[in-house]
Amino acid sequence: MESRKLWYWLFIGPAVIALLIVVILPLIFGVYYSFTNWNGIQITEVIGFEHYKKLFHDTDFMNSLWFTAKFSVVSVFMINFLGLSLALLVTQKLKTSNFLRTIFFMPNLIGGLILGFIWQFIFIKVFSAIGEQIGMEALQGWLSTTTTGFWALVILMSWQMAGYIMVIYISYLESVPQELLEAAEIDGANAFQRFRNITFPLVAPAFTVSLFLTLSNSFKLYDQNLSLTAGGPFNSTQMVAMEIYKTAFTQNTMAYAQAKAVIFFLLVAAISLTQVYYNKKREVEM
Amino acid sequence: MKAKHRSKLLIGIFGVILGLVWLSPFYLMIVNSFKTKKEIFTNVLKLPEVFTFENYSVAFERLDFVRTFLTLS
Repeated sequence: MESRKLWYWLFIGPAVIALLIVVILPLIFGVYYSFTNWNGIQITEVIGFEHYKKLFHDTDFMNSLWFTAKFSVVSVFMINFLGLSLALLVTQKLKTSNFLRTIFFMPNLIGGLILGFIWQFIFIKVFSAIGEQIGMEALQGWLSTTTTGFWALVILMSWQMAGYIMVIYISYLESVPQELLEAAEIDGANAFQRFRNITFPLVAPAFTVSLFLTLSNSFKLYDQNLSLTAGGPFNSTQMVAMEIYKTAFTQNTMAYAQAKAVIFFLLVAAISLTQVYYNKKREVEM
Repeated sequence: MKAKHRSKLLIGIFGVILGLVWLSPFYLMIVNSFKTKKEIFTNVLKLPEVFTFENYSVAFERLDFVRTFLTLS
């Protein structure tokens, strides 16, 4: 028994130490720094909740938080809707199914920064070229207003993430027992009823995973935001991660940025945990 | 059975169109990489009039791919 315990700790040790050094300790230090006047190098004073009081009156931070929240709601819906639709499409046993899966997954193979630059070109150049061809004024200057910039970000994110989420849905869709669907068909259920009452409840675990992934990814989005709009016009499409980065490295107020990051962390954690809790309750056992 | 066959065909066509839409940014990326700087602005969507490989040689020189990859790994 003793030697089994020793082996247990020997094997788990490296992982625990790595996690401790890379995740747990920085988190604790970070929370501590947010209560001080840390400037990146040294601490001269512990100032308590000063930063936290300040950030609730910080309009830049509040605006970016609101923008991020709106963006997350819309993009989580879009990505999951698209992902599930694509998954349903490629599980229809078409000849092109495997080929289509590869195509839909392809945007994930390229990093967010480069995708952002490609889409920047599309939204500025290609959209205006198409707009001129068909005479639509609305396609001009998509990244120069807040509303269209918002939708540009949503389109980019949906295009990129839908394929990834599709893969998760596919794996659950394929494990739905065929005999259940066939039995329902014999009983006279139409395609929508079969989907609503059999497929949908059985892929509920996929919703838990995908909603969690899309939610946390949308909230933490930084690189696409940076390369597509860079926060412009007038920082109105700036998301929280970018706002925090600017506070820390452009304005050089490290401790204040740290306080923002702690609030952001708590917010994302609270939302994700609530979502997982509610989704878990909805899952059905086979 | 015939109706089922037809709806499957429609779904297949729809899938192919959607796949093409999904790929369109890649089409632009690849096509534009063969255009001259001037042509990118004058001729956004169509295939390039003059194929040029200059962009590739410039990119390869400036990025120094071989060394960057070795540094990464």
